[in-house]
Amino acid sequence: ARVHELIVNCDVFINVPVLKHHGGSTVTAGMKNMMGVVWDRRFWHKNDLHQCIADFATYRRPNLTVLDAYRVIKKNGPKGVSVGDVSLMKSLLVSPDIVAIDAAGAKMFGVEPHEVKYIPLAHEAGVGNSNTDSLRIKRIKI
Amino acid sequence: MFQRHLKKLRVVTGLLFFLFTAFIFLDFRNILTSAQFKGILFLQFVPSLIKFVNLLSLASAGFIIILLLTALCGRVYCSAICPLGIFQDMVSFISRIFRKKKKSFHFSQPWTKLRYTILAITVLSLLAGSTFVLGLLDPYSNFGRFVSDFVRPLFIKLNNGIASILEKRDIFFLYPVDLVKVNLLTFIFPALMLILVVVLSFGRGRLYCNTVCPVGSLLGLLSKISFFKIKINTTSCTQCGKCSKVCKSECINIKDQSVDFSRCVDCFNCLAACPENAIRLNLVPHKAIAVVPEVETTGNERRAFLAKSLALTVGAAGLSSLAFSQSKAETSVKKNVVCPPGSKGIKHFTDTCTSCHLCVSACPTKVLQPAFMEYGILGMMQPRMDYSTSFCNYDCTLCSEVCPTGAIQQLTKEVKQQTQIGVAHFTVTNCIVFRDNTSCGACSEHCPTKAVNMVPYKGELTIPEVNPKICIGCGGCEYACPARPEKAIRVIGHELHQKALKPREEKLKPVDTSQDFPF
Repeated sequence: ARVHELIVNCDVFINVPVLKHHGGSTVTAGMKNMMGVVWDRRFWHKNDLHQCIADFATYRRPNLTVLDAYRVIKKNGPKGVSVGDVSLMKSLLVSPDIVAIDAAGAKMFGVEPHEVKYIPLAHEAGVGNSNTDSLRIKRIKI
Repeated sequence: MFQRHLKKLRVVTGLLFFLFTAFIFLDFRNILTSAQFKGILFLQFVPSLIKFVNLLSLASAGFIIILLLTALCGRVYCSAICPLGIFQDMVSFISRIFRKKKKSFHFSQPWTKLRYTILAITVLSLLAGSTFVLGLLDPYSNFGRFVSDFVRPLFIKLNNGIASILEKRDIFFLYPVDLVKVNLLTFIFPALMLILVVVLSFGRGRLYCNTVCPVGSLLGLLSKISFFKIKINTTSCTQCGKCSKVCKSECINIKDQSVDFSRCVDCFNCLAACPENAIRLNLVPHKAIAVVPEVETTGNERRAFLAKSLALTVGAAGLSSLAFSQSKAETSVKKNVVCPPGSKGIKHFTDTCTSCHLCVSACPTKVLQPAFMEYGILGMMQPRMDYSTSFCNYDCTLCSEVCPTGAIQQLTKEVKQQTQIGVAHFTVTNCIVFRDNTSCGACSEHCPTKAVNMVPYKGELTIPEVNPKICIGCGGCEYACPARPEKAIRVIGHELHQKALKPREEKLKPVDTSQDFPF
């Protein structure tokens, strides 16, 4: 795929997605955010969206992913129709493992990771660990 | 004497109107506001006239000022305000620089029959229900098309070229702007008109203005009875002919020492050229027109001329109304042609639009594109929503703000967001989800009202479902759909725009963030 030159040239890659409902992929978090780097996104929609999301994550894993779950669009995503679609969750997830953070994000959202097809696909491809029980998670309340 | 300076005043005013009017079609950086667009176009005759007839508001009464000005001192509009006129002056000027011989103009007979036949056809086709001829011949609309269709792409290419050079030196005040692919067939008429105008003005000055242009012919009729007229003082005139040599309208007959004022465009070249100040704008004593003829004709000749013109006009009238009413009935408007929000429906839009392409230039997403046959042959060049090129931005009302004729009437954002210009229709057999059993959802992603919603299909797959009550026909879904060669979701335009319901607003239950983590 044709990508932005920065992802090819940069030394450190930090991914800062927002947690949202998505009509096509159920949830959008870290891996779906990477879709924005690609020029022809229509190709992804046309050729098995979930597989493309998982495949692209194998190209370059972000050094760090910071998932913004402060205000989460719970329905009518990713665009949303009105303020009524947003739920104030006041949360932030941080991880060097993009699959783990997507799995955790899915759970925060209210669906199981295996229900979001690209998460198990990425796990199988070895991009990261989607099993939240086996992850070391630090829960901090401010 | 003051009058010899009128030429300079005309040149400056003309240049200003030309530059500002051209600029609004080129302003891809949105330097000017739509209110300023309106101000610049206030005095353009045809759009102001059409808008007034449509809306009956004083804000669009610029044409009345032009009529009053013309009744006062002749066709000042043609030399100082009309952008096509000033463009022709530039072509004329350039054509004369490189000539060694034949630099001057000379008197020529008017093409009276052709002139008034064209005016009659224009008026009658309007009455028969088509703006095609008016739009084709209106000088403002022609100028708009020339700048929008031909100059703007070059202007943007220049910008993009300079921007990429500057970018390499870390200078970013210019940025590249996208150019979209257009249907070149829609450029046929604008190109033909451009060739006509350039050819005529290259050799014969304002011949277009005095033969083809219906505004010129109409204002010319009015200037026959204006209060002030350019006249030659036969006592101080030495018949040197300097005035005739600079007359772009070729209307000064130095042998008879007469000026055909219906063809005069008030450029005032003659006033500046005369060494004796013998040619001047003079207050004319107003009696019945027949008593002060401009050109000497005998009674018999005049009667024959009137009879011939009447016959021609009636003939032209009969033929043109027949042709236009027939072709309007026969030409099929393509079933899913969509006209922009604010245009109320296809009939109002195609009856009012003169295809100046200001909305095409102003549209930020470039969804408005000139039609070829989508509105039928009489709608060629009128803009339509082209969802294969782009989509209509949910928060934008620019086209309705800039339209000078009122073909697209101004809307507030709130009204626009409930204006249903068409409805999305889903064809399941074309859909990626149906064909390949993989997820897509591109259409729903782009729907601003979520009229296109993903509903459970097979297994974990979801498939789009359209709610026609809240769909506004913006084309976001059609534009995003990746299915080829046929898209799975397309907007079918309404002949008459409808009102959509507001999208459902259900508030979520607030999350208790003081509790433990969800997992």
